[in-house]
Amino acid sequence: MFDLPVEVLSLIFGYCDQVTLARACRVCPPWRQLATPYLYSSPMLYTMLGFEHFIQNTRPEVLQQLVKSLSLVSLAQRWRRFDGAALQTVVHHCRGLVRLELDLCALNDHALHALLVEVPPPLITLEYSGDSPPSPPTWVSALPNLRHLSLEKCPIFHRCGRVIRHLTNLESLNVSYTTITDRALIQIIRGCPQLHTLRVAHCDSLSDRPIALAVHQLKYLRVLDIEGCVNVLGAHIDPDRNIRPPDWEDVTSSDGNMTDMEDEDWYMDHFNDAYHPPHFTHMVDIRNLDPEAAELLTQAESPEPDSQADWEDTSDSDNQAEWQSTFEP
Amino acid sequence: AMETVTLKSGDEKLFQVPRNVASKSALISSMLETAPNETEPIPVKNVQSPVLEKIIEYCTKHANDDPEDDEDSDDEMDGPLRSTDIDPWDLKFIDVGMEMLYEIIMAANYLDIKPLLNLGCKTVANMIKGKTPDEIRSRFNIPNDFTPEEEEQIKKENEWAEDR
Repeated sequence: MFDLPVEVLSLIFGYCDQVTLARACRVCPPWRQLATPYLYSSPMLYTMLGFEHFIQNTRPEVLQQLVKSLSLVSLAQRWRRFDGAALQTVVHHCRGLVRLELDLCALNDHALHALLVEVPPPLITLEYSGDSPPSPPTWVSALPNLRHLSLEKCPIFHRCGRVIRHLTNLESLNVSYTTITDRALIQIIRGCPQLHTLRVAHCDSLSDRPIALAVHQLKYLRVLDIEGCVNVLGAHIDPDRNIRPPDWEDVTSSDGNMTDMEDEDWYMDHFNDAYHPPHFTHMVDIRNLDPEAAELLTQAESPEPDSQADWEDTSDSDNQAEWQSTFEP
Repeated sequence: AMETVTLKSGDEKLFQVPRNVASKSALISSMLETAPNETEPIPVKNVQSPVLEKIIEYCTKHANDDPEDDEDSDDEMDGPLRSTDIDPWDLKFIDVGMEMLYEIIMAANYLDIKPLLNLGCKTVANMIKGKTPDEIRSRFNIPNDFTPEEEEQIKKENEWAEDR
């Protein structure tokens, strides 16, 4: 009686969870054929035993072609047990991976280097956070196709700018809760012109300069998350230059700087709103400024007078050599 | 007066419905576009009158929905779509016997009424959720074409999926 056309059955399987899909595969051959791609496209693994079964018992062609996204965020004790060897197994078998989420896995820099020997070609999204890498994440530079990178909470990385800026296709970057510096972020902004999402929430080391530069330079920027950036005061985003949304005037002191913050939460809310739609139209203004004013905006009033030399690479070729040497195993 | 069109079910019954209600069906909508002055009843041969009545009930209720809401936001990286996300009116509407559910899904697929097809598919997904293969087969009248060895093999292959 329930002889549904294949396109309808496919729709139904799109609404099913993993356990249901696994059972649907055992109902009859046509169901198996239709449910299999849904079951394997983004598997959720909960134990290391499950992970081992997944790798060992799945047909190689299924692993190779159907697994598109692998998130290990539900894997129990991954911070001890999902190591470099496990990661190597994944990238060796799952050649079609587009997205890999490795949050809190037990990977050191060396293990991540190993990953790069066999990067799955379609991989464009990598999420990683955790105790390592202790050194700059040089391994990411071997993923030139990467479009989405999250290194939230990594204890980075005073030199990460030199590495990440080589990911010229990067569209979204999340380095929230890190100690990323102005200089590193500026290098990234200059090297990654495609960025539309930049998340630097709770990066205490950041000041206004890279934020203003991001607003000024990244023409596709849609989301800039600076929540909890206590040293980003917004002074460079000046109402006199018609960049700040009008409702900000209420919190501006007489000299035009954001100094009298009686209600910090309120201020931060409004400050963040300014970087998101619908206030985004105001951000366009910043790019319509004449070049001189724009230059002033991003460089003047710099807290450190010698900053230009600091956040510009003095000798790019030297840095290039240095970067390459750090990357070579 | 509101513009109406006439639909003719497979068992030759006529239904007069407002044009915007009939247009919930992408199939009828495109027919109306190609022949806007057609006054003859539109034949819906594959759909019998009790089913067509249900379909019209659904389309009348949802006639003024924003077409953008009809599309389930399908971001394949966000895991499975949620089958539990059903409007209370729809839930009551789709609380029908297995045969009628099947007929509604087939009609929604034929007439290309996406939100109704999605509703039917979610309902089936909720029915198979948590069931064993045997229970699913008996519920949906599906013959078991696997040998016991084959089924055992697939069970082993998919063991990881139920591991928690």
